[in-house]
Amino acid sequence: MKVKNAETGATVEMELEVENTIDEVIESAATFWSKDMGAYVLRKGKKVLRGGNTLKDAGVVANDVLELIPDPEGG
Amino acid sequence: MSAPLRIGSIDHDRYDRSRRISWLDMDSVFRSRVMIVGAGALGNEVAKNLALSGFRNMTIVDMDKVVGSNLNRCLFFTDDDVRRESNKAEAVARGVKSISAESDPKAFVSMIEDVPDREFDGHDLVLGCLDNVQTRVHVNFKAYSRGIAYVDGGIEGFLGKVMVAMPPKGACLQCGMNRTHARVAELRFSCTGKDVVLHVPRLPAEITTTSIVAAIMVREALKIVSKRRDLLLQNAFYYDGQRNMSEELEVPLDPDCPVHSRR
Repeated sequence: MKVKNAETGATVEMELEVENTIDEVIESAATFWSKDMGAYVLRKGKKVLRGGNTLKDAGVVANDVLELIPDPEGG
Repeated sequence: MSAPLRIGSIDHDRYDRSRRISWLDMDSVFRSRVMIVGAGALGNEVAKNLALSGFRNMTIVDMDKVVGSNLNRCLFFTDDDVRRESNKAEAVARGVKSISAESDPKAFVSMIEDVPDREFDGHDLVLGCLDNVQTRVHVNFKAYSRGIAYVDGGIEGFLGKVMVAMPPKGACLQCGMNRTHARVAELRFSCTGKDVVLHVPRLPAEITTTSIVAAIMVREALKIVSKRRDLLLQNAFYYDGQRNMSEELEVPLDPDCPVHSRR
């Protein structure tokens, strides 16, 4: 499965188990790209994935490309 | 019988051009009560858009005072407000009144957490113009649990987001949050304010993205009070002004979300 950095277009291949959670994917990808501390979400297609879900629950399969998006919290 | 048509009269009606939008219910706009939580950059733009759109009854809540670094993106704040350390909520209320004499803005100089629950009642809509996750979670819960529509906006530099929560059905703001939100929940992502810890980096912020996010928030507000749920965002809008991209994404309802499981 690949994760795409929405801000740069870069992608990273991740080796994951079906029991890994979306939270874990978000945090791993954010750490890999040395993202600033902040809130991020992961999307698959037109849906934002739920953090606590496992990849299996979220319906994520091997060749999917998920996208890491910053969730801006300023006002 | 309607009033006789007078030559040029359509150019004297402040809302004539708005009335030409067929689905816009201007009577409902005039009657609706809206709460704006946060009177910073987004709060300024949202209040301006609401006032020009015909909203008259606004409650504006913010505890902060105006500082110089607000002035690159806050229409209603002036150098004089900086010198006098004006309260943001009161400065925005004055600004609203200055562009819409018929409006009735009320300022609450307070943290929203200290505003009595009863103040939420009677509002048709809450607009979140906040700078931290914790307060967003609070306002989201107060609005959703009372059946009040909630429109939340967020900005950072050229990035923006708007989410619409329409109780009693559908996702709320917290449904879309994850562990990264929890980790930064207590941080304030603003540039200013007495409670900002000095070592927390200030976020980039500028007016064009603020304007776009605020415009979308008020556009959704117009749809909500006009009872056009079919036209509403479903249910989040992400904007990236640096890459010239925007997209509507769905945040599904999370049955384990504390807001839904507490109801």
